[in-house]
Amino acid sequence: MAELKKVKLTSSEGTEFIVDRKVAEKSVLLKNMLEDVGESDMAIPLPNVTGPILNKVIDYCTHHRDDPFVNQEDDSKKVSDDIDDWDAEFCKVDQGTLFELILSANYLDIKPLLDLTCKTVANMIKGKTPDEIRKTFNIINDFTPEEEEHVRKENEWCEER
Amino acid sequence: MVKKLLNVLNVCKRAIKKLKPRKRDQNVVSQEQENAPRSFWKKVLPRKLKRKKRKDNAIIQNKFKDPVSSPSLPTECLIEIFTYVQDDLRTLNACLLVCKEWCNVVIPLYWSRPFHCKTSANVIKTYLQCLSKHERQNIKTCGIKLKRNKPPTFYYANLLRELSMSKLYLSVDSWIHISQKSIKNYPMFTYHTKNSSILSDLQDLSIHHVDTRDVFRELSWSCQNLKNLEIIDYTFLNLPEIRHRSIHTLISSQTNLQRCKFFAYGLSPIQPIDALSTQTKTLTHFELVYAKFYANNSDVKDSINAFKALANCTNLESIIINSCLFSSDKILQPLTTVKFPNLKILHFKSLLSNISTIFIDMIKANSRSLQDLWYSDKVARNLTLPILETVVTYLENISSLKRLIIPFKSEQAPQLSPFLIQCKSLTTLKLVGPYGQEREINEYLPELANELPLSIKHLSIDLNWVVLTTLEEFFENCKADLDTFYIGGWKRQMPEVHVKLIEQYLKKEKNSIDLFKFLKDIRS
Repeated sequence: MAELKKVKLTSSEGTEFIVDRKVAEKSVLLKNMLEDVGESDMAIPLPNVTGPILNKVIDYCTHHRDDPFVNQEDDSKKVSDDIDDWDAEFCKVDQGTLFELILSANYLDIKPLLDLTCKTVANMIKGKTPDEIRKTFNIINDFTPEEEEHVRKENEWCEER
Repeated sequence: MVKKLLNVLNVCKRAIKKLKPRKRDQNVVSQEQENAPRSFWKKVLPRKLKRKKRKDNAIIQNKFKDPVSSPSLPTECLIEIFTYVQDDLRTLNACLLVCKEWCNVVIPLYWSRPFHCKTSANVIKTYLQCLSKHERQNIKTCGIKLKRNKPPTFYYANLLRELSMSKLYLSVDSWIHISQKSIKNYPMFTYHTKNSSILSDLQDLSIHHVDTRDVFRELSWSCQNLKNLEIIDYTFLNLPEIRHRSIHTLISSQTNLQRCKFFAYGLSPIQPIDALSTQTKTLTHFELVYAKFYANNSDVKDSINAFKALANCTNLESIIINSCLFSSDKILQPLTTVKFPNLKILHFKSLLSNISTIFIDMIKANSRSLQDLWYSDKVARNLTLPILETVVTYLENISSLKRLIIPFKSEQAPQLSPFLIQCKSLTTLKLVGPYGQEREINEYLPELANELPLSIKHLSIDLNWVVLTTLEEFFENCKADLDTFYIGGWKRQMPEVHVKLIEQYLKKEKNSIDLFKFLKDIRS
């Protein structure tokens, strides 16, 4: 039986993680790199991903290691209420971690993780007022009162039937 | 070995290069994060990793230029997030007022289909602000009063991607009602000259209820990038020939038409179908509703030529012909002489003629790709149509068949049962007609329940009546997790005992889902 191949990854602090190649290959970025390089013992540095975040990402990829590859060009309507229990539990983190996960999923090119984290943020936004959204995500309102009023007026049609 | 090391070094360099826009030290940031109540976005997301330049954002990018005012996730991540709420206009509206960065990302999404499920006077009010001085002058000459307004924050009209003419008319009506009490008629498209580029990026156009102005010809001047064209509910009482020629012009001027639907309201849209010969490479979906092709000799020849043009569109993935009348099989014959290698959906439904031979020939010709079959007509219900036999004999990828709606007689049960076992992806099954076999099909129902593949979600049996004990046995035997179930006779009357039985079934098996959601026929 073929030996399970391992891959070394290094987080921004220099912490080394050893994972199955199959798990690492959930990241399209790593998959392409590994295909280019072939067998190697050298660790791949990921200076944009901190240890705790990389740990979470590896958790996700390990749990979903056997999921089939989903076609990204699917035109079907996007819904955000189809998150399964494990994924929902996985996303129960503070907003800082959630955004770091989005950035890491985007950088590492892990589409299902990007979808999951974006859906989670979308669910946090739904039904909130601009002020509530700003508070939830600590965003500064950089409109001048005049600009805000102008934009509000031009876009107020959502309230109509 | 050296080569391998160099390779590894290159890969590492590439990984670091991809990160270069992000210069901050992650550890420092995470410490800051714990200490200060500063804006999280500013700390964690100070840069865009891969900002994709969108053509339609070009105008907008300049609008709010201040780069330090608002921290953000990369644009493509924000777009990803907002697409999950794109049907929730209130939430989108709230998002665009959060900060300038979000506003820039949300506006193109918010304004891509303002007429989707909506008629709004304020949309028109905002659009009017986007007009040039010259265009405003043209409108004023038609007697319409326009208020002096500031230039708009964004050039909203350029962001339109889906247009429903009926909703546009209703929106204009509603705007006129509010702001122009004295005006009764308004000229559409008068300001819309050949030079206008407002509609040049429009991709989806749905036109309803056109009977006076020749909007098709006017649209063809600037609207050439349509992917999806629907012409619905047109009457063309006046000058139908000219209008049909104009539709021909509009279709012929398209560079990338992929989906086309005509609701012909009893006419024979020969010229519009003929125009599809200009879209042979791109067209993937064709739908024809309520068209009538009569027996007049010269018309039959033209009709055959029109369907020859359609037959040249060999990239078609779906062909739907609904509630149409064909005086002769010959009209559709051209469709049987070619192969459509990607044809997945073939629906001939609620027809006013029996064109089952065409349907059968098309199954034979496209047996490799078909996944979704629907045949029903209103004249041949009591005839034995060998559609099931053709499907069983010719279909190559039975395991990928998703929908099957065909006429069925009880004598065909020995063929249906073993076939169903192989249909691993079948989600929708409807057995249509016939009249006069109620008893036999009632007897077959419990057996059918045993043979339904587990993938089945929607089942409809076109029976006038069903016996309670049969129904009980059916639900006892049925292992499939049905989302809807329907017996044709229930549309006239549904006995109380049937309602009770199904309510019990839903309580036990389906976590008490709504009875009326469950009792639904298969419609589209």
